[in-house]
Amino acid sequence: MKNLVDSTTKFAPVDMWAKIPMGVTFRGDATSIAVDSEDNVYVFNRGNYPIAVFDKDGDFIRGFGHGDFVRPHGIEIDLDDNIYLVDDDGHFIQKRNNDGEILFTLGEKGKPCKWQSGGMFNRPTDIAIHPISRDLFISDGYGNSRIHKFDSDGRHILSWGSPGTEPGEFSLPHNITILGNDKVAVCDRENFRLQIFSLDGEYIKQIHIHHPMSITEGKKEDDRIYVGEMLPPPVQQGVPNLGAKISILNPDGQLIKQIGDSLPGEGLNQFTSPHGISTDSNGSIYVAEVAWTAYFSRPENSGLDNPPLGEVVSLRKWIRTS
Amino acid sequence: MQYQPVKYWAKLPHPMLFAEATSVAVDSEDNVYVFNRGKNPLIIFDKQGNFLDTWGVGEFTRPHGIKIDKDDNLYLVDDKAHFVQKRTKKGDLIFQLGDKNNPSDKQKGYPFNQPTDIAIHPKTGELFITDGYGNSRVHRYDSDGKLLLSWGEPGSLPGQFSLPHNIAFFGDDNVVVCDRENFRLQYFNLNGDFISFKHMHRPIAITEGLQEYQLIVAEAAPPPVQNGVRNLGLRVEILNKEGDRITRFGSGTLGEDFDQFIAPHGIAVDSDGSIYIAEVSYTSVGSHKLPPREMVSLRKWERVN
Repeated sequence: MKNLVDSTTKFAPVDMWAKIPMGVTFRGDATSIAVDSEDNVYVFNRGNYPIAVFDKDGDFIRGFGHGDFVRPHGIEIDLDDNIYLVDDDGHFIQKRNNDGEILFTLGEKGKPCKWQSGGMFNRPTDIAIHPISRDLFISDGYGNSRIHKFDSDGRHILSWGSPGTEPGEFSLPHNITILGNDKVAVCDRENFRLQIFSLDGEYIKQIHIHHPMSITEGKKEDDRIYVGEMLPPPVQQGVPNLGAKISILNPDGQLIKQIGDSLPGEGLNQFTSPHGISTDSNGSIYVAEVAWTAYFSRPENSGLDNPPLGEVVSLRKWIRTS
Repeated sequence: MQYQPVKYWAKLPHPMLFAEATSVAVDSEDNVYVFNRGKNPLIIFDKQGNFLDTWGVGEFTRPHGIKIDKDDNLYLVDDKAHFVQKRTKKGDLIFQLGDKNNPSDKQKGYPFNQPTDIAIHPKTGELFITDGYGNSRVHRYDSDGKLLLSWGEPGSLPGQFSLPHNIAFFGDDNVVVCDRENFRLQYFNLNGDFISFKHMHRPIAITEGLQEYQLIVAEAAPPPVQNGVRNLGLRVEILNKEGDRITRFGSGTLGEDFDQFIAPHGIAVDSDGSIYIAEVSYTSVGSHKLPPREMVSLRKWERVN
C-alpha cells in the first residue's frame, strides 16, 4: 500500500480497463462495484449478467445472476468474500457466497413495505458490513428514510431515521459505509450532506458536500473516505464544477482532493453519475455509474431526440500515479 | 417566538391577480409591495391587506426580486430582462443597471445573466446583487450604480456558487447569500471574502430580521425524486447570530392550506415582526395542473407572542 492520499497525490484514469466479452453488456448502468480480498472487481449492473467479475487487469472472469434481479442498485463484499446485493425495485437484499449461491434474502422480492413507513424495505439502496461483527447496515432508500441494522445471520436489530432535514433525518439515504469499526457514514443524497452515526444509530455529526451519491472507506489502513458526487439538478445543468466528481476526504471529513473534469461526459477524465464506488488494496478507485439512466437517456445530454438504448461508459478505474 | 398564519390577508380588487407573487418588500410605513407575474407587476397593500396602488404594466419581462431601502426607494430585479432598476415608490425610474433583454455571456461573471436579488447597505446605500440563473456571482455597486467589484464562480467549494438566489445583510459588515443548489448559506465580508457557511435545505429566500444579525430564511421544496416526502423544506426559519434556529413555521408539506407552502421565493418582514412570503406557485405546481390554474402565492404570518 502506498502512502495515504494527500493533496499532492496524483491519480490517472485507466483507458479501456474492462475487457468485456462480446454479448455481455452493462446496458449503460454499471450501478455499483465491490472489490474482493484478491482485488477482483464485481460489477452489479443492469445488463444480461447482473454480476460481472473482472480481475484487476480488467479481464473478465465470470458473470452470473441472469434473470435474478429486478433492478440492480448496490453491491458490497465482506472480508470473507461473500457478496451482498441490493435490488431497489425488487425491494430485497441478498447475501450470496462467492460462488453466487444464495445464503439468505432480506425482504420479499417485488413486495415493498408502505411508502415512507420506516418498515423494510421500500426501494433499498445500499449495504455496509461491519468488519468485525459482520453486522449489516442497509440504507432504505427511495421509498423510505431509514437505516436498518441486522446481525450477520440477517436478524433485525434496530432501525433509525425518518424523512426530514434535521440531524438523524434523511432525504434519500443512498449509500452507506463503515468508518473504522465504530461509525457508519450515510450519503444523505438530497440533503447534500454525509451523516455520521454510531453503530447504534446515534447521530454524531454531518459533513456538507455536493449531492453525495456513493461512498466507501479505503481498504485496510487506508482511512480516506471516497465520495462520488452526483450532478446538480436540471436548473444548473451545464454549469461547471458541480458534482460529477470524486471527492476524497480525510477521516474528519475535510476535503483533501477531487478527481474528475469540471463538466460531465464520456471522456476519459469525466464522470456522468458516480453511483457506486470502491477501492482496491493498491488504492485504485473504481467507479460504477448509472450513466444511461441518469445522463445519456436524456436527449439534452445525448444530443438525440430519441437516444437509442446502447452501451455508454459506465465503469471507470483510476490508479494512483504518485 | 411563535407565528401563526393570517388568513385571507391580501384583498385584490377584482379582476386583478398575481398569477404568482415572486417577491415582496415592506416600506417604512409597513405598506407591502408585491412584485408579481400577473398583468399588474407591482401591487401595493397596506398592512391590513387593503389594496393601495398598482403600476408597471408592460414594463417587465419576468419579475423576480424586490427590495426597499430606508428612504423607501424600490429596487426591482427582473431575471429574464437581465436588469435591476431603482425606482421611487410611485414607480418613477431613477436608474437601471443592465441592458433590458440583453444578457452577458452565460457563466462568464459579468453583469447580468438572469439576476435574482438585491440587498442595499443600510448606511452606505451600496448595492449587492446576486446573479443568478446564468451566472454564479455577486456584484457590488456604489449607491449611484457604479460597479465596484464582483466575486464568485460556479462550483461547490467555499466562495463558489450553485445558483445564488437571494442576498441579505448580516450586520453592517457582512452579506449572506442563499447558495440555493448548494444547500447552504454563505457568509462574506463586503469585499467578498468568504467567512463561513451554514448547511440548509435549499435556502431560496432571505431577509434581515428585526434584530441585528437575525436572519429569516425560506427553504424550497426538495427535487422531484423526493416529491411528497414530508419535512423537506417548505418552511421558514429564523436564525440568530450564531446561525442557530430561534423558531420555525410551516407544516413541511406542500399545499394551499394556511400552514403550508408551495414554492417560497421571496420574503420580507414588517415593523411588527410579521413575515410575508411570496411564492412562485404557478411555475412550480400550478402550471403543471390540468388545467393549469393560479394557486396561493402570498402568505402572511404574524407573531403570536
